[in-house]
Amino acid sequence: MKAGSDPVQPASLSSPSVGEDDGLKIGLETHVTLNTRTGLFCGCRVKLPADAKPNQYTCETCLGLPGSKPRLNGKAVELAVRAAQALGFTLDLDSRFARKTYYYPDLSKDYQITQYDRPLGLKGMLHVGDKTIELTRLHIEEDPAQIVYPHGNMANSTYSLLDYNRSGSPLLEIVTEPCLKSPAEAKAYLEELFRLLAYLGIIDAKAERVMKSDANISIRGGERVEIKNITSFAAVEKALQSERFRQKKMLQAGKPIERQTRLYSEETDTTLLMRTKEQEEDYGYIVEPDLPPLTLTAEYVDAVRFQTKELPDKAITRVEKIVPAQYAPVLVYQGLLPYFESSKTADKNLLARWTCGYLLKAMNYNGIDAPEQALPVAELDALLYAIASGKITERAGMEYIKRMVTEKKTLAAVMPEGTGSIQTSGTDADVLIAKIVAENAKAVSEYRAGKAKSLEFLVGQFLRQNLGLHPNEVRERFIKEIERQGAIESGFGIAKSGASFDKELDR
Amino acid sequence: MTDQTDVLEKVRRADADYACMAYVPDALSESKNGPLRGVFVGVKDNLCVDGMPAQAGSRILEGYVPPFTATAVSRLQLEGATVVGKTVMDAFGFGTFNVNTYKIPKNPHDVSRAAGGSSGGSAVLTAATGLPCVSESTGGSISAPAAFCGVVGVTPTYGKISRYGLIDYANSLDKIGSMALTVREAFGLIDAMAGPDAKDMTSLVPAPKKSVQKKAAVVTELLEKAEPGVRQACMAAVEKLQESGVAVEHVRLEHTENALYAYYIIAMAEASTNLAKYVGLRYGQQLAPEEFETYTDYFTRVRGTFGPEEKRRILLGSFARTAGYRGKYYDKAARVRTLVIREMKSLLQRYDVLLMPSMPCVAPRFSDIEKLSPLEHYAMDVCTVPANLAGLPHASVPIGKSDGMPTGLQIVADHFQEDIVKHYGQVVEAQRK
Amino acid sequence: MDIRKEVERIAAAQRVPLNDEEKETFSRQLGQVLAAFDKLDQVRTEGVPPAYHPVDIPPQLRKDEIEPSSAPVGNARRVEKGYLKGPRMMKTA
Repeated sequence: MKAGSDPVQPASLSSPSVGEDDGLKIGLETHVTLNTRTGLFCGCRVKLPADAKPNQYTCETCLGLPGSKPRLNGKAVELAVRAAQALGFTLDLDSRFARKTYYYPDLSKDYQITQYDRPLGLKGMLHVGDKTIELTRLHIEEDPAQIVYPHGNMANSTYSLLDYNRSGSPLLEIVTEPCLKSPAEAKAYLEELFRLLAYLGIIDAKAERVMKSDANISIRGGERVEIKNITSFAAVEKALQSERFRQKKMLQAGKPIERQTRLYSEETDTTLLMRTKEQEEDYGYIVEPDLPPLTLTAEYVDAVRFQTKELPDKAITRVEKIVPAQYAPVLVYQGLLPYFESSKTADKNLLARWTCGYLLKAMNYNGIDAPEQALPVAELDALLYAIASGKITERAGMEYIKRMVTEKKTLAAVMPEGTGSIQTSGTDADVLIAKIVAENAKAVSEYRAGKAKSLEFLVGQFLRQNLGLHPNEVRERFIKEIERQGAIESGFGIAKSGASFDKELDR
Repeated sequence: MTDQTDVLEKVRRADADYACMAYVPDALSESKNGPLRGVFVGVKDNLCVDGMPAQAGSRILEGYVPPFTATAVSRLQLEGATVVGKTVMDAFGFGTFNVNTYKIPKNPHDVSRAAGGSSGGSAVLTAATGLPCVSESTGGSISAPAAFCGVVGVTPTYGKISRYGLIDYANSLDKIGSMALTVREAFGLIDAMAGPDAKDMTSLVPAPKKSVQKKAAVVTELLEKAEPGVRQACMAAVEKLQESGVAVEHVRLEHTENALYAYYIIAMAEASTNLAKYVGLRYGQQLAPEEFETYTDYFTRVRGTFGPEEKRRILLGSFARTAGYRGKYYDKAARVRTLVIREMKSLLQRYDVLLMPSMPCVAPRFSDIEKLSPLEHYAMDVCTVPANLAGLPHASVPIGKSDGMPTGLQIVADHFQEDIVKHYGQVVEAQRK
Repeated sequence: MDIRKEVERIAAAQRVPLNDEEKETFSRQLGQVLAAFDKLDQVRTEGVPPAYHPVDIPPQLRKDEIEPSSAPVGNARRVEKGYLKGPRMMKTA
């Protein structure tokens, strides 16, 4: 097999001009590693520690020793069903495993246990921007091993080295219809797919190489070409651009574009021939006889759906009603929504801006995933109240939050002496209460006349601006303050009130 | 222990006389305490025993020493049994006469004749020494050699005994079973090995037992296919059964011949995928990979080690499942399999057991076997295949001789009705005395 | 169907080497066997579901709990720094 005997592809590519219609069709087959502890068919761990030695985490099953048998991982099934539901697939409640036989050193049995004519899911979809990408099928299969080239690379290394640690990892394959219209759209699709699967915990977003794709691309007048095993999203876009360019050049030169499989080389930004149609493997699928059919009951399927988080689309729609639109996806996809919803800060805009901004920044800086672990929500509320009530500036708040998260301190601990505590101190609250009473004479007299609702109105005025106090506490203070002011108006207790003000001024 | 030394001696002598052993250890391991203490068993060489070589009759597994033990065998060991060695077989189970391998066993009743296959070594060891064996059947590999060598061979229901640690021939057809001199011993081993195993997701909990109705059916066309001496021995055994109070009727199976083709298509299709793993990378025959142009060249070179029958079955099996022919062969065979199962189970609602000769002939001479075409080899399985294809429990029990050679009566019951097979087996056995 | 050609194609796909004599013999023998298999064409199977196992096997799932890995690479004869040594992947151009 000679590598790349095609017209020369330039090192940097200009994509075809906008509006040019070459009948471009792109389909993606994406493999994602399911977020399990163990393999699809064996109990070997699949999340390898940094110091893992080659072949250390293997057993007779993932190494394919004669006599070994597969044991299906229930968690992998659950995650696959969850993904199928989230992507709108119709579930086959009696899907089957199949054997796909081909000869490659990374396949420990020289057959892969996958799903063929009865996959777990058919006909799904994913919304990407304002477009709906149709999905053909979704199924479960096992990962091959890893091949390493001791001298050079795949094309020139005189032998290969095999590490079967990865052999048997559980994969989910998701196939799109050939409906993607541009390399950029393909990239956007992958990014959206990744986000959704990470959000639902179906893949481990922090793991390396958790998603890889084979891309199928054709232009009018040519056959479909497959580009295999592209790992990064950026590489997918570049590979497709590169291949599209190659195909156009072929057609212009009067050469036919034949069915073949190619590999993308990031170094040279070109695709290289891997095998032709004639060299295609004869997979000869049979039903996997070492496993029963994957029969799922309606109860099981419902239970999985019940345990699934609210889908991001729904959550975003819901949250957009109370925060500016740009915060909604951040709150949802960064796992901040439950935290956000447990906060007592009334100003949701302020809360969203700080949660998605300075809090998230502090979390990322400190490598903390869960907001509650970074900063207890009550502390954030205290901080925001201090800012809202003018006690501290936003700038000061930015510094405080950094220290509170990094040093795990409370607001009281990081605020300098003399600023006073916020929530429990009556000072600022009393000032505000006095102000509200003074400014709302009508409500006050209505209350004195016996209208309880007017008191609630006054309490409400307070709560809108300062949540440091419990409404009952606020109500009591209002009652006291109304009495006090009443006493002043009627002339009683001047000395008393004067004394109390003096006392406060002394502080 | 003197016991152990004596046993080893017996085994080595049988091997010297009849070439039945693929491997005999220098010394036997200490037996555990348990109900099977003092029981010494041979193990067919496609069952893995930790530390003992396993070649499954094929050169391509030369040098392979499995690092784990098949569940069936370890259950016996836990109860005190001791493994005396590995018995020879047709490569991967591909054969009816145990001639498709590097070491061909001879029939103890007449060393110019074959032992039967694929479990020839097991039958010979049992016949020569009286030691029982753990064996395996895919299309009749226990019944055939048991009948040819005059021993009892029991094949239980598919899924009754865990296949974990069995080097696969055809995963939807392979069943671990036993050979012994008596029905009681053979079933004793089955019971000790049986039961679901978490390591094999096709191992099953048995269905409820049915009671004996004393009604049996003889499969007429299988009697007709048998050579006269075998037919007579069978009919004599059946008559004795009738005399003992069993109502015997005659039935015809519509799908006898179809079962044969369906069986071979499915078995070879599955086998061709099971043999894909033998490419010289992780165990067995290995060469220096960097001396070859590409991995394809390397694999192809290593796989040249396969014998002719292995190559034939890989080709036929791959053909049966290749795109374009899969519907005509593989899927069609699976549907015919349903018809066979339905037909036999329906009969087994009315009868306790189906009766037939285990093999259509006595053990043939090696010189006669050489003249057979592959298709003629396969056709020899006509009596054993239906029960095997349907995964039904069955036993071959020795009955009258023909031409001085042993013959066997095959007794087939419904799924998980091993006790009914045992019952009839013991009646027939007692009647022989 | 050209049996000889099919035999060669399948042998290549399954990485099974055949010399000329084998190609000749196997083509003949396989032709005979396939002719016998073709008899199944006559069997009526409309509406008959395929049986991929002879008995019903209930579905089973394993708990996702880590088990110790035995790393059974002892039978591999060529090991380099813990990796199994494998063949060259592509012909040199």
